[in-house]
Parts: sequence; C-alpha cells; structure tokens
Amino acid sequence: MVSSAVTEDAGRRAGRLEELYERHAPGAVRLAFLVTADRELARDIAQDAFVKVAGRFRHLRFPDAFDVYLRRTVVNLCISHFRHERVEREYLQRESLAASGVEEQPELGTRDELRRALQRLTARQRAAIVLRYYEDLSEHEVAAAMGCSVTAARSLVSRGMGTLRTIVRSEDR
Amino acid sequence: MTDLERQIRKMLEDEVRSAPAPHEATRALRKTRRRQIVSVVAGLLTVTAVVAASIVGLRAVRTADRGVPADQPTVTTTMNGISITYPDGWSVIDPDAAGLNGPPDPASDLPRLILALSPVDTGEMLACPGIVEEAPPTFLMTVQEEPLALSGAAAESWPAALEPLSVDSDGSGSTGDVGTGCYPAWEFLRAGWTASGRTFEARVGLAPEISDADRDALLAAFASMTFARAEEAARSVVLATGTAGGEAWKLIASRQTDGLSMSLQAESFGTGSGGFETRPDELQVMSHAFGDYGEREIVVFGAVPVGITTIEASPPDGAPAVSADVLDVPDEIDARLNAFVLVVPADLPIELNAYDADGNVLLRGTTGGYDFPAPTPSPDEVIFRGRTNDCLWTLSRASVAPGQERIDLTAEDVQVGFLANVRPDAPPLQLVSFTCPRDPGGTLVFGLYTDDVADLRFPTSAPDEHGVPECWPADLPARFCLFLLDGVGDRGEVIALDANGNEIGRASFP
Repeated sequence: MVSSAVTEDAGRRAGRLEELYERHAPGAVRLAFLVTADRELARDIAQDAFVKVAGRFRHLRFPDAFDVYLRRTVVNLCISHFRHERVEREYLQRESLAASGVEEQPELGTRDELRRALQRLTARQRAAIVLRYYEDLSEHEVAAAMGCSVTAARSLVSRGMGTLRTIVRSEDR
Repeated sequence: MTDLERQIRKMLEDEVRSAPAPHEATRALRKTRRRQIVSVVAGLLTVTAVVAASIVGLRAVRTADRGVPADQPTVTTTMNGISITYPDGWSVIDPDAAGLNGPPDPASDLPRLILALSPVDTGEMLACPGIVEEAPPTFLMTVQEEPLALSGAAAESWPAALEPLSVDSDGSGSTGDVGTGCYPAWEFLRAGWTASGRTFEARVGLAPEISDADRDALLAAFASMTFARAEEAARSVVLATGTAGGEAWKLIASRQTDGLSMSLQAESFGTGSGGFETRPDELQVMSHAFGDYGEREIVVFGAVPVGITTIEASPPDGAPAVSADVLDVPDEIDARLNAFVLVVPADLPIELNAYDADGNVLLRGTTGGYDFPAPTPSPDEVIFRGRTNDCLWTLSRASVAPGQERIDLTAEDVQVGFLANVRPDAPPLQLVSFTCPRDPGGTLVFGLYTDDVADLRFPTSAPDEHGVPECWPADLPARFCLFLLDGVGDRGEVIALDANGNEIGRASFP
C-alpha cells in the first residue's frame, strides 16, 4: 500500500518536472544557439540553465517567472562562456580565419554575412541584440534579462547595431 | 524599424530554424534532481545550520509526553524502518523516491534522508514549500539517519526533545532559502537521538501561519515514531565529538573495503583517511587546524593497535601535556585497531606518546608546528548587505593603519578587497571589481573617490553611464566617498573628471 503510493507520487513529480522541461527547454536552446552559434554548446547551456533554475524553484509564485529566470540564466551562461578572454579571442581568430578562407564572399545583407557579423560582437552585445530582435523584448525586459540598467541595455543594443552596421558596410566595400 | 533591424530580425528567425533540439529530458531531470539535493540538503534539511544551544529564552518544545490527539483520524506508515502515526490526509514521502538523496553509496558516512512528512504532497516543490502557489504547506519534517553515535548528544536515547534551531536568515550561504522564497519567516526545530542501534536527526520547519492544531498534530506525529533495529551492524560510528577553535567537530570511524577509515567532520569542512594499518613502530596521525589566527587549535586523531590505552601530547616548551584515553572502535568496524583524538595548540610541534595499561611507551609520533600566515584584517564594520540578482554580498571596511583602510566585498565565501589610501595624498580614484559566483553576468565595481571628483565616466564599458555615484556612509575621512556600482560592464576604464571636466584620475577593472 505504502510502496505503491510512493511510486505513484514519484511518477507524478517526475511528470511535472518533465513537462516543465519540455515546455521551456526548446526556447532556451534557441536563445542559447542564437547567442553562441554553437549547437552543442547551446544544448548544454540550455540544460544547465534549466537545472539551475528548476533546481532551486524560486520565484515560481509569479506567472512566467520561470521563463524570465530561465532566459536570464541562459544569457548569463552564454556570457560567462565567452567571458574568458582566451575563449573569445580564439573564437574570433577562428572566425576571422574562416572568413578569410572563404573564396566567394556572400552578398551584402545575406543571412550568412549578418550571422558572421553578429558573432563578431561581444557576447553581451550579441545577447542584447538577440533578446531585443528575436525575443522581441522591451529595453526594460532586456535589462532585466541581462542584469543591467536600462541605459546599459540600450547602450549594448545600440553599440551592437552600430558595430554590425560598420561591419556590413566595410564588407560591402 | 531600420532596414538593418529588419534584416537582423529576419536573419535570427531564419537562423533559429537550425537550432538543435534540447538534450533528452531524462538527462536534464537527473541533473536537476541532483541540484535539488544539493540545494535542499545544504539548506534546511541536513547540514550547516547552527544549533541554537546558546539561545536563551527561546522555548524548547518538549514532545515526548504528547500523544496523537484522540479525536483525529490517523494512519500509521512505516518507511525505512521508522513507523510514524499522523493525521489522515498528510503525506509521508520517501526521500529516495522524491529524488532528495543521491545514489545509494554504502561506503559513504554522510547522513541520508529517510522520511519526510508534509501536510500536502507538493511534488517536486517539497524542497521549497514557500513557493507553492496554492495552499502552500505549513510545515515540513524530515528525518535523516546518521552514523551511529557512540558519544555526544546524538547518542542520547529516544524519546528526544525538539529544540529551537537557529538558521541564518539573511539569505546568505547554504541556508539562503530561509530568508528568501523557500521558508519565509519559518521557525525551525531539531532533535537528535539514537534508538534501536541507529542514530537519527529530525528537522522540523513551521510556517508562521501554521494552526495550533496542526502544530500539535505534527509534534504528536514526531513523538509517535518508533524505530526498527538496523538490519546489519553499523558501518560508521561517531567515536567522539567536541569543539576546537570555536567550531564543533565529530570523529567518525567507518568500515571500508581497505580497512578502517576515519574522518573528521565539522560545519565548515570534512577530512579523513582510510586504510589504517596495524603498524608496530609508529603512530598513524592526522590533524586539522580550526579557528582564527592566534586562537588556532588542531584536532589530532589517528589509529592505534589494540593494547594502547592512552595517548599523551607534549609541547616542547614545558607546557602541560594533554592526554586522552583511546576510543574503542567497534569490532564490526575494525577488530585490530582503536582510535584516539586530542585537541592541542596548533602552532607548537607536539610529541605524541602512546602508552599501554602498564604505562609503557609503545609508539611515538609528532605533529603540529604549523606555520600559519598572518591573518588578513577582519572587517570591523559592515557597511551594507545587498543583493544583486542572485548574489548576496556584504560590503565592509576595517581600519588597518593610520591612513589605510581595507575595503572588502564578500559573497559566498569569496572576498575581494583592497587597501585603500585615505591619506591627504591619496589618488582621486581607487577601485576594484567583483564578480559574484552566483551572478557571473553581473560585475560590481566598488572603491573610493575624493571630493575633487565631479563626474565618473566609463568610456569603454558603459559610455552612456556617468555621474557621481552614491556615497555609502562608511565613516571614512570626510573627503572620501565609498561607492559601489553595477551595470557598468565587467571590464573597462573609469575616468574621474573634476568640476571643469578635466581628467584627474583613471582606473581600470578588473
């Protein structure tokens, strides 16, 4: 009697957590992928973010809070990943080498060109732009997701867009 | 919307189509449960909370003479060798099934949760009742089994009394769930006892809104517990408990595949060693230092062959010797060896002698004489405790010498500080940065500026941010201002300008 009740309870608990994962993990992977441009890294970051947020179960009193905290954690993990100067420098070197090795440059404004330009931004700028233009967040929401002031968030987006514009123009010449 | 913005949006929408699928759920859920274990076990249920033995005036709840109220329907459940009677409708939860314990490890001498009692089954939110949206539970009781206590308070027999438990409520450290969402304003009780050859600890959390009836019923349920005998002889026993350098410790002996293993466990750490042997000519000694500089003590422990009855520790300077009787290690753990433990001053070399019952020295050894570094000044004034995202931090200052102050920011045992110059010739700007382990995306920049400074600018990391930051009251010389900023990036330059817009100082972080 007791053991069957325990088994039922455990199954129900596992089911709820699994439902939470299935609902939120795909979006977290997409966000991480757009910021990191790395499929495996994105999957790992999304999973780690889920584990961090679900592992604590904080703030769930508020509707959508899980989403907000998951997004924020994904962004933090992405930025952390790129924070190490060496990682970022090697990445940029690799990207620039890859870019220089391409025989035919893509046309101005193509998806590849913009994608490569996006990856040349700092991780924080990249995250801010993805949050603003993919997640469609307001400046306040971008600031909340990135843990910075609204001014700083606005600055990240604006500087990121400025850099993108410069890169696109220079590659156009 | 500009063309570039439209292009970016379109590119991101196209790009995201090639995003991969998440890892399979089972892998993530397994990791989540492990994290929950860490969170829960480190929080309320097992370790690091401070027993409020010294709290006077808090009422101790004596429960042994209570019974389950006669007018309430009850059920009795047996789980992991504990039978408990509780009101019908409450839930007894198996911590293993709830994923609160790690995988079984017979070699481990760590406590293991074996029963939880809650008024409602909150599923995976068991660990954090404060966030349950509808009808949050008003209490949570857990029972864990520990190494068999041969001495100390935990060796006292059942029935046991629940005593108030003081849990750090500022939200910091491993008990952070108390001050925040999981156990808001909850009261905690604990009890430890030994029954039927097993040692247990119970922890009870009570929400402020718990009814008197539920409180009484919970305490009655606690008192109703009975315990089955252990199915096999204990693999781990607590041989001794004590304090050193102001910290409580316990010495645990365990039976391992390679022989006797002994570990010293305290609030702040655990250390140990296995594979003790019966050596004819030397003492097998381990030690660990406790306490602050100047008050350090070391706990010296080790194994001796059967036949040794006393260990004596003698400092070389003629200070009084310290001696202790050998502790009996149960035969089912190791029949060849016994153990000893002594607390001695840390900074002197100690000579150890092991005597038999006739007073003959059979074994000798040495320990101690550690060369400890000079201490960093301990902050004598907490200026502010703050929170940035998930990071709880403390800003503090300490006078080190005339014209010199130590400013520290501490979070989760990570401390960053600097010696600030507050003499008349001090530079206009002094700063350092700090990235909290729990908030890697946010960097705090803190330091001092003088009253010559009219504006701070962050040209490389936050060009749109500038101004004179708020001045924290820090009891510094009048012309100095202590500031703390977030949202100005994680690396960059800070330029100090005077009232005329001239640069008078420059610093960079990190």
